[in-house]
Amino acid sequence: MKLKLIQTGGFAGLTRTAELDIDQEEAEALVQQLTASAASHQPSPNVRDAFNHVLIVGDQRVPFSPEDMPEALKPTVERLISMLKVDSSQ
Amino acid sequence: MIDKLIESGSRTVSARGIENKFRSYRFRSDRIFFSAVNDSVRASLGFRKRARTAKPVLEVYTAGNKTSLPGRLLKRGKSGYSDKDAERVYQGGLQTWNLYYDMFGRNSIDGNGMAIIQSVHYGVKYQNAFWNGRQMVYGDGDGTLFGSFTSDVDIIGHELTHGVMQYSSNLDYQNQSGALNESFSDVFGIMVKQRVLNEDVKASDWLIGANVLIGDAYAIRSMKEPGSAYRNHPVLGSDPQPATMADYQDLPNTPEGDWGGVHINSGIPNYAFYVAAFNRGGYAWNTIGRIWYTAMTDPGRMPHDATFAIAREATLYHARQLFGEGSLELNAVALGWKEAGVE
Repeated sequence: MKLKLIQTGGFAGLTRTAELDIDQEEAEALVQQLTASAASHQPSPNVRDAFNHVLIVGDQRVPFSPEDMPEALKPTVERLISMLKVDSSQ
Repeated sequence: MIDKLIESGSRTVSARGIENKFRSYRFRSDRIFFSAVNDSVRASLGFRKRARTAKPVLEVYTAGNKTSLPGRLLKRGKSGYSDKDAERVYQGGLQTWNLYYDMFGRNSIDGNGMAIIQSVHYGVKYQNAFWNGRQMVYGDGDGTLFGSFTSDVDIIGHELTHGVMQYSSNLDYQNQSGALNESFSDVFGIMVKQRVLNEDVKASDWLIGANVLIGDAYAIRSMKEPGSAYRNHPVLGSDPQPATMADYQDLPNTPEGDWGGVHINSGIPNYAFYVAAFNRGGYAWNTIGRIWYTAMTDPGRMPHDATFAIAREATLYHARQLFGEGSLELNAVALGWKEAGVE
């Protein structure tokens, strides 16, 4: 199952994406844990030029901030972040 | 009645009127209350070059390649900071404070001498700089695509200006008000750069982030020609910014759409400022910059959900107030918005 990360914004306003194939069970668990964690809360309303992150699995999308990531999810999400490439079609 | 007082032209009366008006806002937010009074009273008294009676307070920290903020406070030695990035943000923060204080009479981010707090070396090869609501934060870049985000004084001015807006118009970070928020940050960022380099509107390259994006042919944004900051870049492709309303990008107001393309559509008000300043001539901060400052810090005429059209009205109003009917400045501002296609 495809796990897709979209990163937008930042000072330069670039869109970056990364994809990872993982099995469905793992993907569903990840979405569930991420949604339940503090990482999925909206960032402070006064933050400017921060990156925006959205994780997409199937038809589910979870906006999140990597700084508040639960330890258990860090390896997968950090791996995705390290794979981000600029999508210049946008 | 209070609004009438404010518009009544008598400067003493209008300052008091503004004070009363904002007193009634007090319950919304003390912070906004205080900064709004300071700005409006200052605006009503007119700009005045004055001897420096205030001094900036600057603190530079290192996040030590971690993401806890502010990190560890760095000490400044006789010859400055030993850390190059720390020295750059110190000097950039100082120059930004100088522009705001010397030219617009504003003492720091909140108008009340707030400490300018900056952290360098945030994260690992972090490719960004941001304002977190309390301070400025800079990453080192990956060294291939981006150098350190401390490399351009206009980026430092840009981030500090996000703080100034938080304590004044507080423009919503979405759609047109978000693009205005981004644009005001570029406008004051470029003026910091122009003043440091002593460049008038003709000498300036009007480029934002000319150093941080690696490669001589590239910058992050061009205010003079939005959409031309980078072309056929091997990684980034081409600069997507529009210069006029005809090319406004209707992006979704979601994280995927960068909240309606706040870093994309800022090209339009950026271009309006450039055209206005260029046509007026001279140093931007003496003319059109004053108009933009007064408009940006006037929550009455620049509400948090302002559109480009409302920003146009606010700048035309303050051009009239500051420079008069029929002035070169008023004509230049009208031309700027016209060229950008904003009515």
